[in-house]
Amino acid sequence: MRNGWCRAYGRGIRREKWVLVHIGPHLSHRDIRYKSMEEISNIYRGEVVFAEELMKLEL
Amino acid sequence: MATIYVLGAGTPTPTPSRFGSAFAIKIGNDQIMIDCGPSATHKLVKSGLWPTNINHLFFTHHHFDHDIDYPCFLLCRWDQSTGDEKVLKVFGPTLTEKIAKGILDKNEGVFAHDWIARINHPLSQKIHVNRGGTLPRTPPKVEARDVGPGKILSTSDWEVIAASAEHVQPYLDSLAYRFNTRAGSFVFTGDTQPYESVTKLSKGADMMLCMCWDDQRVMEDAGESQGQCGTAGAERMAEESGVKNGC
Repeated sequence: MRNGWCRAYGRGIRREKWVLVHIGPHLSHRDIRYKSMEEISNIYRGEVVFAEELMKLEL
Repeated sequence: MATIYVLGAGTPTPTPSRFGSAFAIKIGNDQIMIDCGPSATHKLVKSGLWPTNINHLFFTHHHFDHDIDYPCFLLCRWDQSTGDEKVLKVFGPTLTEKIAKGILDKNEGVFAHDWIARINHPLSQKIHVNRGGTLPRTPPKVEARDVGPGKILSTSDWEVIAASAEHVQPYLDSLAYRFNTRAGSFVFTGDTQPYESVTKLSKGADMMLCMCWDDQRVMEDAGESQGQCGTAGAERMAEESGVKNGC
């Protein structure tokens, strides 16, 4: 197993995703969500995903 | 390739679009669940997956928004089984063994009446046979194990490592899980405040699924920032773990 995931790193592919889950009702509100995501995007260089139920994420 | 299915992306507060926490993972032919919050079994099927194909379940902790659908999942998986499926293996912090027994045990299980009726009534027997099963029908079986930090499981295609998370101790223990696969690695933080062992577990992961209750300032103003992450806390964990910068 370990050899397998070391190879994945060895390819040098950067695919970092930061997925926000367990999101409360206030943050779910559209205006609050957009404002927060904008702030986060200003400081986070990777891909940020605001998770929705029944969403699929590939790796 | 690994696919992560977000089944529940909410909290204990139900909203029209979110309620509770649950995830499924597909790695090759293996299907795995993380937590089993409200309606997780139904959301699993809505996602195109099927309960009898899930052979491993990992609980981050035992708040109801993470485990309330567990009785439903166990009974549905057993009821839909034709008897050829593997035994479900369940891992989680303290209470995981007790809860499994409390649901299914013939003498103590609060849902034992369901499977006892389905095993013995001719109608249920007929439905089971029509579905491809054979008689006599066997009781549901689950291998549940309380686990702590460290390597939990290793297969030929994936491994799982747990770390302590900081949520509502000492009342409930909480774990974060890291999956290492050939496609990459991903971490489920579960419910936690920014915490060193979770950050360490997440070091260099390709994906981090991190709780984010609310805007940090709102949480701090309301006194709700202890034991959980808001926007700034989640960002701090992502940054410190190297999910942001690589490793």
